Amino acid sequence: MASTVVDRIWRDTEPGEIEPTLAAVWRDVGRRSTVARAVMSNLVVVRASQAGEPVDAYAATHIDTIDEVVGRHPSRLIVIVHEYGCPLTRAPIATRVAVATYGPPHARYAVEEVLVRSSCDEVSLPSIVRRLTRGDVPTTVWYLDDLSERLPVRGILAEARQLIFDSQRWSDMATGVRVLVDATRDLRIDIADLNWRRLAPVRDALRRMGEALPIDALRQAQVRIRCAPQERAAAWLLAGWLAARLSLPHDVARAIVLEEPAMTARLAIATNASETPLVELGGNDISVAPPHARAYVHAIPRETQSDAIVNELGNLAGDAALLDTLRALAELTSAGSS
Amino acid sequence: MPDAVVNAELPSIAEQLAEADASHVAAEPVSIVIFGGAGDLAHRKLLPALYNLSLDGLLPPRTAIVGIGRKEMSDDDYRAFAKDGITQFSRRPIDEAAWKTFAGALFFVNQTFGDEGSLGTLGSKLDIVEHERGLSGNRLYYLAVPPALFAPTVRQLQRSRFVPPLESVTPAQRPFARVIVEKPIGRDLDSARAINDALAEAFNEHQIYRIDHYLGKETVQNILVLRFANSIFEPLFNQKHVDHVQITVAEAEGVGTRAGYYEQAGALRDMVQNHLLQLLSLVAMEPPRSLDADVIRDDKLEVLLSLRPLTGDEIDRRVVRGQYTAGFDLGRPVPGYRQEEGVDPQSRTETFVALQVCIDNWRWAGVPFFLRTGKRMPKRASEISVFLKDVPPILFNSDPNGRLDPNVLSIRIQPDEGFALGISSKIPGPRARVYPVKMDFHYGSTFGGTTPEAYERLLLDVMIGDATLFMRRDQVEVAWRWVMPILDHWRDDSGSPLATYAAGDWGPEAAETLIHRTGRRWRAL
Repeated sequence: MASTVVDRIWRDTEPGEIEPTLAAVWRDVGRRSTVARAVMSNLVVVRASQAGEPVDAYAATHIDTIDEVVGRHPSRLIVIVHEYGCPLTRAPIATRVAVATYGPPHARYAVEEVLVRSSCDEVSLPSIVRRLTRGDVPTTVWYLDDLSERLPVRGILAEARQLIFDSQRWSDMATGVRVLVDATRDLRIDIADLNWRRLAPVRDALRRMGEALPIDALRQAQVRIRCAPQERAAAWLLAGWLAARLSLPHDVARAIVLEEPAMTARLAIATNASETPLVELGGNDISVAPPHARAYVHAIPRETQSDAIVNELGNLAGDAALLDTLRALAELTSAGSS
Repeated sequence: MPDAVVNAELPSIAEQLAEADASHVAAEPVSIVIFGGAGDLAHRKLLPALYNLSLDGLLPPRTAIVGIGRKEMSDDDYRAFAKDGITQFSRRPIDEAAWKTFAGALFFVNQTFGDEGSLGTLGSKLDIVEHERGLSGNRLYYLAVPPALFAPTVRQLQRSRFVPPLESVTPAQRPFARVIVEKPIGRDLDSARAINDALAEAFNEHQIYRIDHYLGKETVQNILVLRFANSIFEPLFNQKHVDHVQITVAEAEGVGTRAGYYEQAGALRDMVQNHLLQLLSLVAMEPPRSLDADVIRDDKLEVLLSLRPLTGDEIDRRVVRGQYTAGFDLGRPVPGYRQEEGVDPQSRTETFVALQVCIDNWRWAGVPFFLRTGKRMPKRASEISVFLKDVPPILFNSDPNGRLDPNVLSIRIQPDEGFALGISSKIPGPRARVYPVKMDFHYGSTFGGTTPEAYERLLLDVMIGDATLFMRRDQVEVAWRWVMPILDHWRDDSGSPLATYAAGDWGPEAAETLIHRTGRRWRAL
C-alpha cells in the first residue's frame, strides 16, 4: 500500500538547526536509495501534550493515521505537541526531524517531517509555524484537540489556507462553534469538519426528499433529530444546517435536537406523528422513508479518518454550506450552552 | 612577407593553448591587496572565498593575498586569523594539504591608511612578495573599509604611485590595477557621486568593480539563463501574460552589531537602492544583444531609467516603511528595534520597506512590481515570484468559492536555491478536482555538492576582468536618483507614517493593505 512507510530516518536536533539537519537527513536518504522528494502542502498537526507525557513523545497518538495521510497526500509534516498554559515565551523544548519514505521499490518518494515539543505561551507559537512552513505550497492546520477546550491559536490559523478538525470530539458544541467562528473571523481559511463529512449521507437524503420533506412539521418543531450521545455534535450540525437552509426560527432549531442514551442508531430524524424515522443513520447504511414514497436503504460510504483527511486536503475550495451552518449554529446556541 | 609581420599576426602561445578550451579560465596571477584585511568582511567572506577558489584550482598560481590594516599582526598571525575565518565560515572544511599551499600566499602589512601618509610599508612588502613569487605586478585593491575611507584610500594609492596614470590605462594593458568597492556606494545621490568622482580620479570605469554580492549568487546569475536559454519563459515575460511580480528579500536577524551603520542607513538605502533594484532590473530587462558586460549593463540601466518616479503623496500611497517591535523568533522573545544595543530609543529608521513600483515601458506597462524587504521577518528568504494572469473564470475556474491558484514562476535566491513553476493539476480520482502542484528545481539536489558563495564568483570575475555582475557608475547613480524623492519625503515630513510590526511577522499591516488594494496578496515564503 502506498501509504505504508518503508523507511524513516530521524534525528533529534536543536530548534535553530532544523533545516540543516533535515538537509543532512535527505543526504542520508539519498545514499540509501533513489527517492523523489514529494511535497504538495504543509500539514501542521497540533495537539496538546498529555499530563506526564515524556518530552520526546511526539505524535504517539494518531501516528498511523498521520503516516497514511502523508503517504497519500505528500506533505511537509509539522507536528506540534504543545503544553498549554505555560506562561513562558521560549523556543521549542525539543525538536526532531525525519524523512519518511513511501511507495513501491520502483517509485519511491519521501516526505520531510518536523516534530516539535513546545511549552510556551501560545502567543509565541505562530513564529514557530511561520518559520517551519514552506510558503510555496498550501498550508493546512489539523487540530486534533477538542476546540471547545483548547482554543485554536488565531496566529497559526492566519498562516493556513485550510483548517481541519473533528467536531465529534467537542465536549461543548456551543463553545466549540463560538471559538471556531471567533478564531477564523476575517481570515481567508477553508474550514473542514470531519464530522460534517459523516453527515453527508443524511444531508443528501434530505435533499433528495425535496418537496416531500414535511416542512410545516419542521417549522412547528414537530420534527426531532434524535441522536446517540457520541453523535450530539452531528445532530447540532444538522440542526444548524436546516436552520440556515430553511430559515428556521432559533427556538425551533434549538428544540429539535434530542439526545437518547439508549439509541442504537447513530442519528435519526422523525416527525412526532410517525414511528418510522424519515432518515435513520446506522453504522453501515442509511434508511430513508420519505412521506408518501417508497422507503429505501442505502449503503453509506466507507471512509476511514485518513480517507476523509486526504479528501479534505485535496479540496481547497471553501465549503459555503458548512460556513453557513456554523454561523447559524453560533447564533442559535449563543443564548446558552447546548 | 617578412617574418616579423607574420609573427605579429599570430596569437601568443598562451592564447593558442587556451583557444577552443572551454574550461580555460583566463585569470592571471595577481596580488590581491585587501584594505581592511583584518576586518569582519575579510574574516567571514573574502578569505573563505579565496580559499575555496584555491581548492577548486581557480585561484591563479603564485597569487599573493596581502591584508593591510591597523592591527599589529605578523604574516603568521594573519594566517591564523584566516584559518579561523575559513574554519567558521567556509562552505567546505579545511583540507590541511590545500591549506598549507593557500597559507603560503597570505601576508599582512600593519599600516594605517586613508590619511595623508604614504603607503610605503605596503609598497615594500609588495615588492618583496611579488619578486619572491614571480608576479608581474597585476594588482587588485579591495576596499573592505567604511565608505568614508574610499576616497582617501584611493587618493593615497594614486599619490603613492600604486596605480598608473589614468590616460595611459587601457583594458588590455598589463600589468593591470583594479579596485573593488563594497556597497553602500554613498548614502544619497550626492555622496555616491562624490565617491564615484574620487574613484574616477585614480581609475577608469573599466578598472572599477562595485560589488553587490547579491549579483554573485548562482540563482541570480541563473535569471538570465532561465529567461534567455529557455523558449518557454521569455515569451511570457511581458504585460500580456504577467499579472504582477513580487520580489522579497527577508532577513530573520535583527540589526545585531550593525546598529551604528543601520541607524544611518535603513532598509531603503541598505537593500532597496541596490539589491532589490538590481534584481528588478534583471527580471525586467530586455534580451541583451550579447553577453558582453556593458551590453547587459546597458539593458539593466534601461529598466532603472524606466522606473516611474514616486513623488509627493504618491510616496505615502505606494511605499510603506516599518520598524519592528518586540516579538518572537521561533518561539523565543526578541527585542524591538528601538531596544537594540546602539539604537536611538526614539529612532525612526525603517527596518522594513514595501513598495509598489511601475515600469513605464512597452513590455511592462500596467504590471505592478511589489518589492519588500525587512529585518526580523519569520525566516531568511529571498525570492522573485512572477505571477501569471488567471485563466478565465470558466471550465475549471468557474467556482467562485474555489478559484484556481495562478501559475507562479518563483526564483528562490536563498536559501534552497532553485526555481519552481506552480501549475494546476487534476487529483487522481473520479471527480475533476484541481490542485496546485509544482515543477520544482533545486540546485542542491540537481547539481549536487555545495553552491559556490557569491564572493567566489565575484572575486574570480575581477581577476578575469569580467564586469558583468558589477554595478556601473550610471546604474548606481540612476538607482539613487529614483530613491532620493522617497528619502527626501521621509526626511522633510517627519510626520509621514512609520508603521510597526512585531518581530517574527511578515511586516506591518500597511504592507498588506498596499497589495490588497490591488486585489493581490503577498506570497508566503
